[in-house]
Amino acid sequence: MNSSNLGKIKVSHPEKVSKPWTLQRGQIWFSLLAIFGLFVWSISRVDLSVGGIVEIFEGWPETRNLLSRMVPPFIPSEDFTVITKAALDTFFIAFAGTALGIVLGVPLGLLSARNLMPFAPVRALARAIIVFSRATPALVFAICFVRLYGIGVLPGLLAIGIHSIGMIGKLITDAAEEIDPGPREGVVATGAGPLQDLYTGVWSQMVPTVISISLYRLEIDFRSAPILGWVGAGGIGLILRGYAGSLRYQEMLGITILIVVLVILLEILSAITRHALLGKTETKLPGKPSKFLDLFFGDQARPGKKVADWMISKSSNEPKLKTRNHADRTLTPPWTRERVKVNSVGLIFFILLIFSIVIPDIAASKIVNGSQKLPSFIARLTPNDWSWFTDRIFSDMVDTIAIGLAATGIALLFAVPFSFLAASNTAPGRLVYLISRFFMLLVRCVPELVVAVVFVAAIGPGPKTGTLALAIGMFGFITKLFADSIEEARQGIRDGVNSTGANRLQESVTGVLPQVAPSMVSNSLYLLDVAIRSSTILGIVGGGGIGFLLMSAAKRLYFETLGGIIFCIFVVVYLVEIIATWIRRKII
Amino acid sequence: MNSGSSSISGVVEQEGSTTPEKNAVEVLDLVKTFDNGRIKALDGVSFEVPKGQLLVIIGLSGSGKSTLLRHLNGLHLPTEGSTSVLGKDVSSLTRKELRSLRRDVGFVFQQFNIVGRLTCIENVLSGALGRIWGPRLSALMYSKNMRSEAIDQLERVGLADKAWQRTDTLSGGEQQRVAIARTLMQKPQIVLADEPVASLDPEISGQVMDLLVQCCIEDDITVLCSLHQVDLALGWANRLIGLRSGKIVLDTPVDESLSQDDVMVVYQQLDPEGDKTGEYLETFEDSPS
Repeated sequence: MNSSNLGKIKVSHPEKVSKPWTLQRGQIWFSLLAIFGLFVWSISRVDLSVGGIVEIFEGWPETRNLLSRMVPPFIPSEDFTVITKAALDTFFIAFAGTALGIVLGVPLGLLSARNLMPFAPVRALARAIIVFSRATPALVFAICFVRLYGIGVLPGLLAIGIHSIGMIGKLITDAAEEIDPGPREGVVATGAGPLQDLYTGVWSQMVPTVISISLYRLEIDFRSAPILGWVGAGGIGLILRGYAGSLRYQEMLGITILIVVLVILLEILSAITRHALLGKTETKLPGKPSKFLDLFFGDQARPGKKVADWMISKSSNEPKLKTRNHADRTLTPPWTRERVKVNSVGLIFFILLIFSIVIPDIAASKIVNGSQKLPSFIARLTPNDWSWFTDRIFSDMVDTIAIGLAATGIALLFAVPFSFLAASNTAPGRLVYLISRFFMLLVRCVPELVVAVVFVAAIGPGPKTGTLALAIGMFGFITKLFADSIEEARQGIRDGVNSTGANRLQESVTGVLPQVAPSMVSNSLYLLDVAIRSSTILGIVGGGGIGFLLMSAAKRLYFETLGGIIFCIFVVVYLVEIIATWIRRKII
Repeated sequence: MNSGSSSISGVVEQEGSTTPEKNAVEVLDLVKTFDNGRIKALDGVSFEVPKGQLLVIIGLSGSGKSTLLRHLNGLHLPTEGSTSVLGKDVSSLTRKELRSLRRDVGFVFQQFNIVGRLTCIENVLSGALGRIWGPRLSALMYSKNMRSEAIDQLERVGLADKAWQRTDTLSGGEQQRVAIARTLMQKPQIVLADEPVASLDPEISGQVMDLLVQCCIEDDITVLCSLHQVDLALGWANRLIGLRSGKIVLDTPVDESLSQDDVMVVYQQLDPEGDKTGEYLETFEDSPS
């Protein structure tokens, strides 16, 4: 009976049983198919199709042999002071670099916000700087700055700072454009000037977002700073490179583990700070009635009566509303727990910042000397013709894109199912959830370039190695975003699906997936963006792609080639970002 | 209904104004269109408000009340006609002059428009920004006298003990009282209140209106307040202007002689369809006679 009814419906309304094709739907499917095709192509390009994987297994005895030379990891005691100093330097590079990024990025971000800066040319200029520093990896800046300022902490600090401007600036612009215009109007209506409006109406609304953005950037910089030393920009990367170069594999793994432990510690520090500063942000919604002191509760409205009474009482010079004695009021903010906490966190950060600048002993003369050379350096980087653009550069650029695509695809393949295990509301059990979360956070703390260093040592250099290393890094990055968005899925919709008698898998697919799909797609496109950016520098440690030529051009002082490659990287990264933004807008 | 006119002039005389201009606000043939003339928000509005008057502008949503008020402190500029506030033609002012006019014209918003994460006192202090030079990042950057003054104003709205609390931890009615304290901190000559109680529940609405009007009377402030409920308007006004589709359809003094029948007339002028007449009648009968 049932089935025959269904059959009837199908026959009588053939046009309604399949979703109609619209232009938007076509565009989405076209993009998705194109991306899938690109992914398949990239897998074969980086040699990770069946044949390539078989090769890895065939080479396993050798790999095992190399891996066995890495254990047990070991940190030589005679180098202890050097390593400690390098680790501290890395911390200072990340910390002071992020501070520099904030100091430069926040004003730039405000200048490029549509609701704050009315002059379009100023906005365009600020936005151009933001886009350029975002699209150029920190390691590329580091390579250039090492040439300018010499080996040491300074180029690392500057590289982190200049690259951080990009992300900070963009997020600040977004945050500024999203603020509630109401309070601004309130401030302007009191007769305040533009600067007063900026501080009281705009900035005071943005403070929590600025803190959140800064801490987020600090975490990212803690992960990217350790590798900067590889190109001579100071810190622990230099030591890692020394051990890798002299084939001291045990020490290499030791330093790798040290880096991971440091990143984990810093991540915890950042999480604690975040909680201390932003933990209590949930606020009561306005308009909610509360118990009210019946101070001014008057009689019900009678036309004009009350007003007339007040006017009479005023004209007869009765005393105004009683005011309390002036002596017992506080004119300074009370030292609440909240204020003590915020102020002490601020003080600690300030002291750390002073340390980060003073201890690495950056000579002012170095800054001046290097900066004087900057204009001529940029001039030398600018190619006169296209002679630098060789076939090798083209094919390495294609490799770079393939590595980014393949790593994204592999990461997503594992991340989608895994994120359901790492979300508290969909995990099959508390234990599974905790283990998955811990594993996820652990993977997140391993910088992909450090993984690449170990993989290159174990499997040998090439795009395949780089792809695998990058895929691991991207997996850690995306799983957290996925799991967090799954945890935000609304329970009500899931209950609805559950009440139809669906099992756990059906419920996850029908109740949760549609809710999180838009954010998953959006995050995946963001992941692609990040992966391509990272893939441009993998070659520096031997992971394939354009990075190798970049590094060798810098070493051999082929400045035109160096400048040309930086330009190529910028174009590719920027194009990917534009395409990703376009697709994201189509889908959401 | 015509018998009340004497009470208004009586009030003005009581004030004994010292400045030469008798009128706080003069609006002449004001027309405002939006969307390249497709939407006509105000259609030839003219009226004068003597100093010290409590004027309530009533009208249904979309009748042009907000647009009218926003013209009086330069948040909107007229398409045609002119608005003169405290003797100055608003549309001809430079930016600097407009800022100085805004210092004398307080504005109370429907959505309070205060910064939720700042403390109450910081929000009140921001009302003094027009009097001082340069930006202020925290309460401690204002002088001690100003902080004391701000607490005085919070005292008047009954919130002195919450001065150092974050404003978004307060209830809606309390937040609007903070906004009123901010406006009073400005020491304005005129207060424009755009639906100040529309997002509050009826009981709290009465309390907030009491507070606003009482403080303004104490400080000799002229009030122009827009409301969409006739019953609220009657309690806190000595003159009533009714707007419908951007035109003034009613201009009447308010006093105790206003009868229920008169109120019905007022209501029908605002809402010619009479859709809500029954509803309105009910609320009126509920109130104590």
